[in-house]
This record gives sequence, C-alpha cells and structure tokens, in this order.
Amino acid sequence: MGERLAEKVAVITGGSSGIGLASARLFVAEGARVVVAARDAERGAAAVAALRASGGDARYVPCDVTSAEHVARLVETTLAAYGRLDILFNHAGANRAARVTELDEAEWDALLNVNLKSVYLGCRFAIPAMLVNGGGCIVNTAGTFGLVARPAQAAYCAAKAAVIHLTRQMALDYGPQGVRVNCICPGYIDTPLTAGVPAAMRASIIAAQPLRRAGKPEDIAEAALYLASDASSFVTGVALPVDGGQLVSG
Amino acid sequence: MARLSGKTAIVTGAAAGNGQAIALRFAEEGCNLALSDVNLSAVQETAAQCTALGVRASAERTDVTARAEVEMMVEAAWANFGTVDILVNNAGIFFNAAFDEMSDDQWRRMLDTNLTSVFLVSQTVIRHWLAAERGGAIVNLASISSSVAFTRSAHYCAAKAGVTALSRCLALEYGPRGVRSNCLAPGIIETAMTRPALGDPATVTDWMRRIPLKRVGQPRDVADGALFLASDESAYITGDMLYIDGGWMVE
Repeated sequence: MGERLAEKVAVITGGSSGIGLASARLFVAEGARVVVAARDAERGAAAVAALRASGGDARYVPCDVTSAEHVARLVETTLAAYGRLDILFNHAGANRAARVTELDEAEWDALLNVNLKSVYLGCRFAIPAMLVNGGGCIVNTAGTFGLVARPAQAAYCAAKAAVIHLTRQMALDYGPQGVRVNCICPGYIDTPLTAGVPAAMRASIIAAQPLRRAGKPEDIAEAALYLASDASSFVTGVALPVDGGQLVSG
Repeated sequence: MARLSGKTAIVTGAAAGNGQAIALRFAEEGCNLALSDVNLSAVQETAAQCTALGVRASAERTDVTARAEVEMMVEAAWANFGTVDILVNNAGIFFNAAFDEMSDDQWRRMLDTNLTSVFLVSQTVIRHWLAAERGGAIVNLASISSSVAFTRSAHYCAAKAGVTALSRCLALEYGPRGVRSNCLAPGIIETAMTRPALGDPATVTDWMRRIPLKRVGQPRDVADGALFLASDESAYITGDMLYIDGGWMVE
C-alpha cells in the first residue's frame, strides 16, 4: 500500500468498470477513500466489494452524471460519509461513431450531455465542497479525439475538445483558490468501451502508434494518480495525452 | 516499493536547481545516478547527498556541448552501473539578450548548451540502447518558452522549441524499439536562473498575474514530474510535453 493519496477522499464517475475501476483500485491502494459513482447498481456493488476486499475504504453511489439532481446527491453523500471531498475524477463518458448528418438531435444531446455536461455538473457541485477545505483537485477524461479530428466521431470529438478547453478555463477561475483542474487524453485503450472495435481496425490503430501497443486501463489510472496527487501541485490546466505517441505525427 | 528501484539514470546539469532536485528525488525512489555538470565540486556534492539516501551515485565533469566529453560520460555510466535506464537532459543556461544586439557567440552558446547538448547526449545513449536491444526513457527539460515568447529571449525560446521538436521526433523514431521521449515544460521555478528576476517586484507582480496558482514553482515540482515521466507509471506516454507552470499556458 502506498501513501500518495493518504487522507484524501476521491469521487470517480464511471468508476465501476474499465479505466474508472482501474483508477479506483490504484487510488485506494495509495490510501484514498473512494466513492464509485456509476449507473449500474450491480456493477457498482461488485466494484466496491472488490475494492474493500483489497483492504480499501470505498462506497458506491448510484449516479446518472447527466442529472443535476444525481450529481448534487453524489457530492452530498460523499460529504456525509467522509466529511470532505479532495479529488473528483470526471471519467464517465460514452461514444457512438457517427458523422454529423447521421446524428439526430436526441443522439447529439445525449452524447454532449454524458461527455461534457457531466463535467460541468461534477465541477458545479464538487468545487464548492473543495473550497471549504482550501482547495482540491479535478481530473477530467478528455481524449486524443479532443485534440485531433477523426472520421465519423462528430459528437465525441466536439465534446472532448470542449472538455479540454473547459479544463483550462476552470483552471484559470479556481486556481487562485487552490483548485487544480487537469485532463487526460487517452488514446486507444482496451476497455469495455473499445471491446466492440473490429480486430483489424484495432491492429491498424496500434501499428500507427510509436509504442505499437494498445493502452491498458492502468496506464490511464497512473496518469490520473499523478494529476490527483500533491506531486503535481504546480500543474494545472494541462491536457496530458496518454496515447502511445499517437499524436506526435498529428 | 520504491518507484525507480533497481534503475539507473543519467542526469545532466545536476549541480544545482532542477537537476539537483531531480537527482535527489530519483535517489529517494531507489534510483542509481550518473550525474554530470560543468561544475565538478557542486555535482560531487549532489552525488554525496544521493549516496546518503542509500543509492549509488557518480559525478563527472562534463561539457555537454562536446561530443568527446559526452561519449566519455555515457561510457563511464555504463561501466559504473552496467546499464542505463533513464536519461534526463537537464543541462541548460539562460541569459537575456536583445535580438538586434545578439552576437553570433551568444546565439551559438545558447543553442549549443540548450539544444545541441540534447542531440549529443540522446544520440549517444540511444546508440547504446539499440546496441543492447533495449529501450529506455528520456526526459527532456523544455520550457513554457518552447510555446510562448519572452522579450530578449529569442535564442532561449528557439533552443527550447527545438528541444520539444527533437523530443517528439525521438518518440516517433525509436518508440517501436522501446524508447520513450517526453518533455517537461517548467514555467517560473525558483532557482538560481530565476532568482535575479524574482528580486524585482514589478516582474513578480506581472508573473503572479499570469499564474493561476499564484505562486512560483519549486524544483521539487519539476522533479516530481520528471519522476512520473521517467518511471514505468508513464509506460504508455511518449512524445508529450508536460507543463509544470502553475497554469501559465491556459491563457
């Protein structure tokens, strides 16, 4: 067990599977008390049971991150359980590959809500709780698709680019009060979200990356740990690619 | 478990400031250190402090702009420690000069020390890695000056932008062979390099207006970033530039 997040209380949205769960495991192993926020109650309970079995302190809070009511309750429940909130990892997100002309209005709204509005809502309710303690730390999951365009990813590219810029904007607004805001830009990571990607497409994506492999959820979790810990106390407003070098040649 | 346990790192410019902080931070995490600087007695003192933390550390007097000296330093590191896992290209200088008054010598001295040094040391280390059929992690000290302009600093900004571009190319070219190459981009860090400016209240006021976190950084902040980029914790990160600037770049 490490101590890099000793005494900290962290909320991780989308924390019951994939990158979110790997991050919850690492945060708990580094001494944090972790609130796993996710929609699926069965998966949430299973995640928390596994975290507790490893000796960690964790709780599950059911949460739809596109609902202000849910996110407000998430923060209230965290404060009631642990008395403070130091770290918010806005990780929940979803994707559907489509060009603009293939997205109806409801699909566009749904993708923007789960990928962008969720970040606004998390920060809207978490930052006041952090300010009570003199500061805190927000880590948002953006994506390399927020830095470069990719075919048939209209809503996802737009939402992730907005997350990166919102990250910078909030870093400016809340830095003076001790809240740091950073984001991670994952490249191709093997997770439940990418499980449906055809093998040939996965292989060609990997072949184009300098490090020639897919990322693991743990790769993102380590970046989240760095950005969430005091080791990065002079780092705010950054977008950190964790992408095997995918972006070096654009 | 220490985070760099059993590894060996070359750190250039390790006599003071960020380089010294990086050496000490790595030593705390169990890393053996091949340190170099033009100031031999000061880098020997850094090595002694590292040794006191329980690791092996050597100190060499090396001019990183001279190929022969660089090759000797890298050979010595391999000879002393058996291998090298990490290279931190930290050595660098700073001085102000108005562009219209800049001499050829000033331009060349800045480019040689801050950019050509990264070429020489990285090439020498990468050749060793390729010969040994192994990879490694390179951490290059760039700067916010790679991305934004400062007055009377054209030579410094050009050199640091060159470091950033060089680092990305190494990531692309040697990633398939297991070499990662990343940059740290410090903002205003309290070191001997910035101490004169930090004594000027007008400059400090201007800087604080530009830094959302409302403080200058410490060498320890840079060292923690170097530790992340040097360790296996960043195994899927290459070609990045990590700003450690208190948020300077957001505006």
